[in-house]
Parts: sequence; C-alpha cells; structure tokens
Amino acid sequence: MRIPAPALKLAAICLALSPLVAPGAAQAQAFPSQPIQLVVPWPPGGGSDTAMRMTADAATKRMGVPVVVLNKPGAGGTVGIKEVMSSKPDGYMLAMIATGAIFAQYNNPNANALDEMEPVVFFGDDPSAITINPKLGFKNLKELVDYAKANPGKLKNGNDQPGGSSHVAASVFEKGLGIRLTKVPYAGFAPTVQALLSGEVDMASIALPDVIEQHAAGKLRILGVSAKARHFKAPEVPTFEEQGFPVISGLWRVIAAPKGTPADRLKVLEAKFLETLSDKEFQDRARAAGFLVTPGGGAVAKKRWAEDDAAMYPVFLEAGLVKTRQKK
Amino acid sequence: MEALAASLGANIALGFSVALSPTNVALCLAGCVLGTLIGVLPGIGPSATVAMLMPVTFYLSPVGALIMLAGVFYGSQYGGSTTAILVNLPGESSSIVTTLDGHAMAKEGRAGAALAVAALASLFAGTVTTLAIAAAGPPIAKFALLFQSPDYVAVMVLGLVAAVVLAQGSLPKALAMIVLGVFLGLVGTDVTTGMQRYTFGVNALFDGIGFVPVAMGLFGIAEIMHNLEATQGKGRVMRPMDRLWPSREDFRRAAPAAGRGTAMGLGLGILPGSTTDIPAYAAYSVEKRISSEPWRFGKGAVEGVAAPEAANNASAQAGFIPMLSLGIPPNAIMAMMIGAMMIHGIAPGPQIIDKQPALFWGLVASMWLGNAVLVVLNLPLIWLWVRLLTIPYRVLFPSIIVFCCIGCYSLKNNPADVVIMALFGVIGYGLKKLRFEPAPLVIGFILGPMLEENFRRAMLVSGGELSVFVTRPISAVFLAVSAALLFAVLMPAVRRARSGEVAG
Amino acid sequence: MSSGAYPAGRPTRLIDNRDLWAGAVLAATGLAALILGRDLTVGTPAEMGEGFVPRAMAIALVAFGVLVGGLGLWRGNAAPEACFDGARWRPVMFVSAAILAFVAALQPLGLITAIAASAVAANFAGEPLSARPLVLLVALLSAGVIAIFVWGLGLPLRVLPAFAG
Repeated sequence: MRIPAPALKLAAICLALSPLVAPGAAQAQAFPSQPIQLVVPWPPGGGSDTAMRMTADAATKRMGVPVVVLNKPGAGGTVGIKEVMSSKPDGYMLAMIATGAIFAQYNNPNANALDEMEPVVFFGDDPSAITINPKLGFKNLKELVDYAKANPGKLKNGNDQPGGSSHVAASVFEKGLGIRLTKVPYAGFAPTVQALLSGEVDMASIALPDVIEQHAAGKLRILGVSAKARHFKAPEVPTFEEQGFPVISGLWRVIAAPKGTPADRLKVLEAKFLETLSDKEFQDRARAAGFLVTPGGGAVAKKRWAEDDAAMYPVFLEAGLVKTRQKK
Repeated sequence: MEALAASLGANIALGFSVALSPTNVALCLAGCVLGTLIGVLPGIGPSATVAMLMPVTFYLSPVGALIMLAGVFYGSQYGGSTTAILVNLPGESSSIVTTLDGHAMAKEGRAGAALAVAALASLFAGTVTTLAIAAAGPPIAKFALLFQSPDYVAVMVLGLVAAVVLAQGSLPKALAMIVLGVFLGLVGTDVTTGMQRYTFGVNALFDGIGFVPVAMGLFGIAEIMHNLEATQGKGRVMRPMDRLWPSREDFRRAAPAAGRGTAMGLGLGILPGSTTDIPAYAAYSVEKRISSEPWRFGKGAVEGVAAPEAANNASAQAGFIPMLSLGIPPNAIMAMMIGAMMIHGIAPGPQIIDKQPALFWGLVASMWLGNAVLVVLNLPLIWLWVRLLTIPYRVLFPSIIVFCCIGCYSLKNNPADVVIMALFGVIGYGLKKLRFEPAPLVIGFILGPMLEENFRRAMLVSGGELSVFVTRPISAVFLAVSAALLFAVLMPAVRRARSGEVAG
Repeated sequence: MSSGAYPAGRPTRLIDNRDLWAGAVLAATGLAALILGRDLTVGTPAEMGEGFVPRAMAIALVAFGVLVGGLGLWRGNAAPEACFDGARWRPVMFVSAAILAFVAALQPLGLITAIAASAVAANFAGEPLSARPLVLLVALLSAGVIAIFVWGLGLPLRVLPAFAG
C-alpha cells in the first residue's frame, strides 16, 4: 500500500518475468519477496538522489523485487536515516548515508551513530579538490601552499556551513597542508561555484564533479584532487599526493540497514547490491553521470567510517560543534 | 547587427525544429498538464513529481526530458496562481501577492477575469522573455556573474521594501510583521556557524520552518477559519459571477502592468540563485505606487494580478539562463532537470550552448511552446475552475483541508509539517483578528534568512566594512532604488501626521 | 494608513482595544524570543554569531509592540465588534482539530480513515452536513484523493489501516 504507481507497474513487469516469484511461492521464505524501500535523506534532484535512483533502477533487476527510492529530507539527513534505523529490521527498509552522518552524530542528539546501523554496501566517493579562480595565477598546489603560508588567513575559501562536507574538507586541507584559510560558508555547492566565478572567494574546497564543467571551460582551475588516484572526468588534474601533499578527503555514499537485520538477509542484500554496482553497464552509466563507483561490502563501509571519524572528530571539537556523544 | 539577427533567426529555427517534433510536443503537453495538476493541488511539491517522472527521464532523450520538465515547471507556476485566486492558497511563494487582488476579484464575482488576466499576462511575459533569452541569453549570464553577497543583500532589501509598500493597513503593524517573519525564518540551523537556533531539539525544526506549511496555514487555513467565523458557519459570501471574460476596461488596465511586470521579472530573474518571488513583490509594489488610485489595490485591482503574474513567469524563465550556463539550480524542479541531464552525461555549464546547441535552443523554443500550450489548456478550464466556487462552502472547506493536509505531508513525508500548518492556521487567524496582514510576514519569512546569510557573508569577506554596500555599484543602485521607494511610502504618512491627521 | 477602518470614538472597555492587544502580543513574542535565545552567541559585526540577527529582531519586535500598543492607547481605537467572543471559537477549534485528526490517523489507520476523521471534525466547524451527505463527501473525497495522489502521482501513502493492508 505504500508503493508509488510507477513502481507498481514495474513490479508487475518483474513479477511476470521472474520465474522465482510464481504464484504459490509467495509464502516461500525467499528474501526478498516484497518491494525494498531505499530512503534517500536528501531532496529529489541532487547528486545523492540521482546516484540512488540509478542504483535502485539497476538493483530492481537483480533483486527480483522493486527497489523504490523514497525522499525523506530534513536536518542534514538525520530525519530519513532515523526513520529507517528505528523501523523493523527486516531488510525491506534501507537508507543512504553519507559523510555528513559522521558530523551529525556529534551535533544532533537525534542522529544515529554507526553502532545503531548496519552498513550494507559502499557506493563510491566524490573526491574533494582545491579549485581556484584563474585570476589568482597559481599553476599548482605548491604555489598556493607557499602563498598561503606566507599570508595566513588571506586566502578566502568557499565552503559549506561548519559540518558540511566541503567545510570538513577545508579543515582537513588546513591541517594537512599546514595553512590557514578564511572559510566563507555558503548553502551548498551551487552558490559556492557562483561565488568563486564572481571572485568573491579565491578558492573552494568542493567536490571535483561540481566544478568539472567550469574547469573544462577554463573559467576555473582545479589545482589538485585529494584522492588516491586521478579522477576519470579530469585525468589531467594531478592528485595532492603526486604534488607532494599526501592528503585525502571526499564525500562517500553508503547504503545501510537498521541494526538487528538478520545476517542472512544482510548477506543477500550485500551480494545483490555488489553485483549491481559492479556491473559494467551500470558503471558506464554512472560514469557518464559523473559518479565514480567503487563497490565495497559492509566491512569496507565500516572501515571508511571509522577512519574518517578518527580524522574529523578533533576538527569538530576545535570548532565547538560537538554537542553530544562527546568522546572522553 | 544583421549578423546577430541572422544567427538569432538560425538559432530559433533550430530550436523550433527540435521542439516541434511530434514526440517533443507531446511531452511538452504532458508536462504542462501534469504541472497544472501539481500546481493546483496545494503543496504538492517536486517530490511527487520526481517520484513519478525520474524513472521516465532515464529512458527519454535529454531534450525530451528537459522539455517535459520545463512544462511541469510552467504548469505548476500557473496552477499555483489558480488556487491563489480561487481559494486564497498561494501554491508558490511568488503567488502570495496574487492572493491580494486575485482573491479579492474572485470574491467580487470576477474570478474568471482574474484567471484569464493571469494566463494572458503570463503568456505575454513568456513570449518576451523567450525572445530576450534567444537574443541575449549568453551575455546576460555573464552579467549575472558579477553579483556578490553585498549585491544580494541590496536585492533582498528591495524585496522587503516592496513588502512595506504592498501592505494595506497600518505601517507600524506591517513593519512589525516583516520583523516577525524574518525572525521566524531564522529558526533552524544557522548556515554560517552550523549552530541551531530555536529548534528545541525538535528534528522537524532543524532545517527551519518550511514555506509551504506557513503559507498554507496563514493563507488557506486561516481564511477558512475566518470565513466560517465571520458568517456564523455559513462560509464565504461570493458575489455571483457576472462575466467570465475580462472587460475592455480590465484589458486597458492590465496590459501596461503586464509590460512593466515582464521587464522587472526579466531584470531580476537572471540573478543566479534568485527566486521568482522578489520580482513578483516588486512588480506589485511598483503598480501600487504609480497607480493614480492606489486604494483599489487589495480590493480587486486587475493590475495587481497582471503585474506580479507577468513578473513571476518572466523571472521563472530567465532563471533557466543561470541554470544552464552555470549549472546552478535556483529551485527543486531545475535541480531535477540537472539530474536528468547528468543521467545522460550532459553537464550544464559554460560550454553547453556550443556543445549542445540543439538542446539549448530546443529548450528555449519549448519555453514559448509551453506557455502557449498552457494558455490553450487553461482558458477553457477557467469555466471549470469558476464552477468550483459554486460548490457549497460546507462541502468545499473540508475538501480544501484534506488537500492541504496531503500536500503538506507529501513535501517531506513528515507529519510534523502538517502540525506546523495547523499551528500557523491558528496564528494567522489570531493575526487577522488583531488586524495584522499575513503577506508582509511571509515575505519577511522568505527573504529574512537569505538577507542574514548574505549580510553576514558580506561582512566576513569585507572584514566588517559596511561601506561595501555603497562602493559596489550594483548594490548601490539597488539600495538607492529601495531608499527612494521607501521614502515615497513614508512621506504621505509623515505629512499626514504633521497636518494633524493621525498616521496609521 | 487607513484610519477609516476604525469608527471614531473611545472604547468603553480597555480590553476591547485591538491595537493594545496587538502591541502586547508583539512585545510578548519579542520577550519570549529574547529569553529563549539568551544562550546564542552575538559576536561582532565582522564576525557575527548566530544570535546577532535573532536578537536584533527580538528587540525590534518589543519596540514595535510598544509603538503599536502605545498608538492604540493614545488613539483608543475601538474594535467595531468585541475582539474576543467566546461563542466564535468553534471554527478555529474544529478546523485545527480536523487537521490534527487527519495527521494522527494517517500513518496508523490509512488515508480513508484519515479523510473520514478530518471531515467529521470539520463538520463541527461550520453549518453541519447531515449524516448522509457527510458519508457521500467522505466517499467522494477518498475516491478522488486515491485516484489523484496514490494512483496518479504515485505518492507513498497508506490507503487502508496498517493491520488490514
């Protein structure tokens, strides 16, 4: 009764095609046997929503049941995640979580911590980058770092509000590169790009896919990408490490189930989603849309969370943003 | 000049050759129908649209997907005005000012005229804007790039001054409502520091109070409460319809107003990240200021419908320029359009016009097509809409309540929004009893947070120098216009106070 | 500006002075905002804290409250009808009740129950319908809503109670 009409049509097609779900097999213990809801805790139309809708569309074919995306935005993603994590852990309610969830657990008493969820699959990263307005004249990361070291606080960096992914990236860059920036907050990547184009800020620490078009057109210049490898959309941009600064920062996406979901069901979900994300055709489509898909299981996702958590907590603490779950 | 005209002609021809393919016309029509439906159903937002259309856009050509989504966009804008006129429910933030005179006209039995004027003013604005975009779109986008935080502050100030002008009653009370609106808009997480303000640990308030629950409560629900109370439960008293079509006199008044509204919508709409509401408020205020009979405003002046409707349609369309050339979506439906393009591997950006001429010009042509389709679709529907007003009120109002509840709930699938709507219904009723107007409050509510954010950012970037607001030419011009407008409003009141009559 | 909205003459009772009440409500709202927001950081003009603008707005509300209330006292504008009339609270109460009934019923009991609950509550707000038209209204509304929102727009809404569907 909670399924959108197009999904119902899709379900009907799947049911007709799939020999597994023949009449009579309805009560079989096979999982999954009913539609799976994937809650995206962001509004429709954004990067996370697009990524998850593509995933759901492709996963529907593998699961044998419709995977339906439901947008539940609010409070930096915590509203939608909370609803899933407090639902019945039967494997039919999943949520997308992203880097921001690490911040939310310290700032919002209603947010879920990692030990309240069960990561199922790792989708991939949008790596952060340092992008400048070409008027600034720096040709590589080193020139920027030298200038910033000589003029602490002079460079104005465009980023999210404190706790947002590009604000975290800016803090990580400051620590890793040993520089100090004036962090100017904007509500999301779009106004940040606009401010960088207009010259209101000198540089920005937003994710690479968000500036790729301006970079290609020569309106902005990406000095380096803070990932392990170069990005397929801008292979000419070197990584930080190649330029002598081993700093890594990015926004990742993970699909998670509530704590207490039966292990055998988690296994099915993990296997099917991994299959979906590893599929050549899916990867091509995701790449065309600008997503770098690096599929990994629940363990990979947990490890990534733990690493980032350890790196970011001191940054949050310093900014006075830790309001709850304070570590000793 | 001639070369420009020739390339313009070639571009438009290319655009129409794309937009007029049978599939794309069908998609445009489907989008407009769906958009009108979404716009007329109060509150139903982009979530519902996306849920329905996103899977479809996977399988459509990028041009087709964009044309359909553009149809949805115009349709929903137009549908929002329909409910503003008929039942005082602004479907979009820009239709708040349409409720002022549009609903007043409906109460006088001129709902048909109001709806027709809204449709024709929108078509006029759409046609002019399409031509303007085709002729000057790319250079305009460059101009938009000059805007920085102080300039946005100045534009917001203009919007707030417009809110003062459009108030009908006491001036101190209107100012107080703007302040209250700004304050309510600040509830939620502060963009600059990430701190929470007045959220009391309630999750539903972390992102602030939503526009739709506030507008539905203050306008739609409060209006129902007031109607029932004022008539001892009988409901609204509507003058019977005398005519369906606007009179010659209506046309005479509306046409120049639509022209001025279009100009303002076009001028203000190209700002990246701008909304369609400031142009609508500004256009209304200008009409009221320059009118020789300003007292007619708020009581069913047809200019008060034509100008903001033209302005909001022109600016909605002009908003495509920053969206396409900068990849900056000003609203949810355009964010979805970017999503639809990305799925096909097309990223909007500075190179889109050169790289994807068929897509760009096809979309431009479909803008005009969408507007034309909407008018063709909606003029006959006016007859149907005005029938709605003949439904007995005791049947109509429970239905409005149910539709508002579902619309409000569906925004985020969150029951808390519906409770907030009920609360603002009661607040709106109380304000009405105390002779406060809801429109300045809602305008303050929308503009306040943007004003604060940009003001603080401007201060941060300039190191606390207030002078940036006058040394930057764009901001100086907007502030000067605001000051002149404010002066024009205050003067009569001050003069009256001096001459012994009480200013109110 | 439209002083013509009020008939001339002083009110007999202070409690009927509408602008006095309006000012009191504004001032009280401002004071509440100041008290509830006392922990927010104000900061400096160059680096404003999250409390700067809210506090400024709260102070402005108090000031406007005093101004509006003061003007009301000075002018003594009487309301044409009494401001608060006990018998008139029905529409406010029951329209609110209709909304709250809807939202309370929606998730556990489904759309149809929610519509019925809302329509019944709303029925007390105005001139009531008798039983038969009321049932008809609920049936028509349910059918329309399901057709438009559930089938047409594909909204994820529960139609029947949770235990039945």
